[in-house]
Amino acid sequence: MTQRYSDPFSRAFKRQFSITFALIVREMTTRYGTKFGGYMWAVLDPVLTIGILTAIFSAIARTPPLGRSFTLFFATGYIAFYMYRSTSDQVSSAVDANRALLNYPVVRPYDAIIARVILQIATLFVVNAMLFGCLYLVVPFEKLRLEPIFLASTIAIALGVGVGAANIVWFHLSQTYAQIWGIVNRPAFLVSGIFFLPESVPHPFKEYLMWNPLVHVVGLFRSGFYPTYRAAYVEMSYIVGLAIFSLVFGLVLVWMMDAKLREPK
Amino acid sequence: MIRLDHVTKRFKLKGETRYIVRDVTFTIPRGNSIGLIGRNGAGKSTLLKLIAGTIKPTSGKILRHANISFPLGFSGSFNGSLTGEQNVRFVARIYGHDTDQLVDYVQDFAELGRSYYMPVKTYSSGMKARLAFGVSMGIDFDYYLVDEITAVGDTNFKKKCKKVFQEKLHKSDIIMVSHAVPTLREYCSAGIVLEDGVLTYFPDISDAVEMHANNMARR
Repeated sequence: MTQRYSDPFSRAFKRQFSITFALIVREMTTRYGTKFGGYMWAVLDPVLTIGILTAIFSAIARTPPLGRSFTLFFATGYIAFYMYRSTSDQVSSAVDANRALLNYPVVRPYDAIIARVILQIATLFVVNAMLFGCLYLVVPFEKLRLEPIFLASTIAIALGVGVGAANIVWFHLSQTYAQIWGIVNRPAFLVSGIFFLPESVPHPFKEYLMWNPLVHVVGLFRSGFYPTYRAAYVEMSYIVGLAIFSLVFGLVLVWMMDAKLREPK
Repeated sequence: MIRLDHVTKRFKLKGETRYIVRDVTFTIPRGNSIGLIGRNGAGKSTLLKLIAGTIKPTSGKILRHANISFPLGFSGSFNGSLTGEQNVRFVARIYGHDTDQLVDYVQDFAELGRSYYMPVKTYSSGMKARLAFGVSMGIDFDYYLVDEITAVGDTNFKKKCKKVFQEKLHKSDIIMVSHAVPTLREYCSAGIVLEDGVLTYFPDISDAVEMHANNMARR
């Protein structure tokens, strides 16, 4: 052995750090760097969606289901959903976007995921701070409770990473599955309680709705902004359990299929 | 030293199983530059990737007690949206090399001019090969895995490659895939013939070339 492997642990840690750092820089230069778009879209996607929802619903209804501001209602709904959706999209394409770089033996599919997740969390943090900061100037919220907001964000992101990681493998194995996934997930936007409250949904549809973990995540996130809103239907054990399960399942799957992922589809 | 321990690699193609290597146990000693010869589709490039570690064997183990380069080939190890220079920085970072120093070295070596600061997807295959060659030469490896890449470039660039390779050969070894017999004789002292999943090692490259010629005549 050459001497550069003398201290395996600190060496491995240092190497992991420099590879992650290199991949983050690489992601930032291509996704957010060169052309218009990039970071702009990370902000514009939620801003436009919330704007459109506000415009439509304030035309057909007089008050939102909670509070008086449509914008705040849709922002709290959509952002929780967006954290999950954008994370899962970003993670599921992490390996393909870095495929050429897997030609370096020191770069593993895992590294591409780690880099994307770190960048995604940082991006979401900035987007949320900007969005709710601006929103506060227009519609001051009465009292924020950071605990449910933070908890809901963590669960949304963990779910996104887990689902995205599993999808890296499934998408790699089957083109058909990728298509079907896209179609099946399209209505997720409609049934996640973004522009209505689950309390207003009649039996038995409410019970069906409760199977969708995003309904719980959105409710939990919202309860942090509306001090009077209890969101009693939120079942913490269900979403925390599911988030942990999907995270472990997705990452183990990637780990097991490491060799397969390095080969072309 | 690189050791292959009962290594098997097979692919399934439309229900048919193809073996690249079949239960191969073999040690590649240091101090020899090796030419890897075999017919088209025998799996030479795949074997290089196995040695590099970018693909995993179906069964068996590969032990690497050396610092091995990435496979230098046409398939490209560059991100197309990044510029040549950004790709070089990336490689410097993942191998823990001084970034600015490597960037300067490759700029000087690859002679890409202004294209160095253009996205790699606008490069010709020759330009990509020069970039790949420059990057790997800028980093010190014990083994350089070279996949046909020396065939590219004009005469001046080839001269340059030869010169830097000769310098590297004092400390490092090359494992080279090539169909060009003169190139193999020039760079390699030993040879391996890959045929039907079996590796045959020859301490003298001439013997390997001869066996390959026999193989080709046979089928």
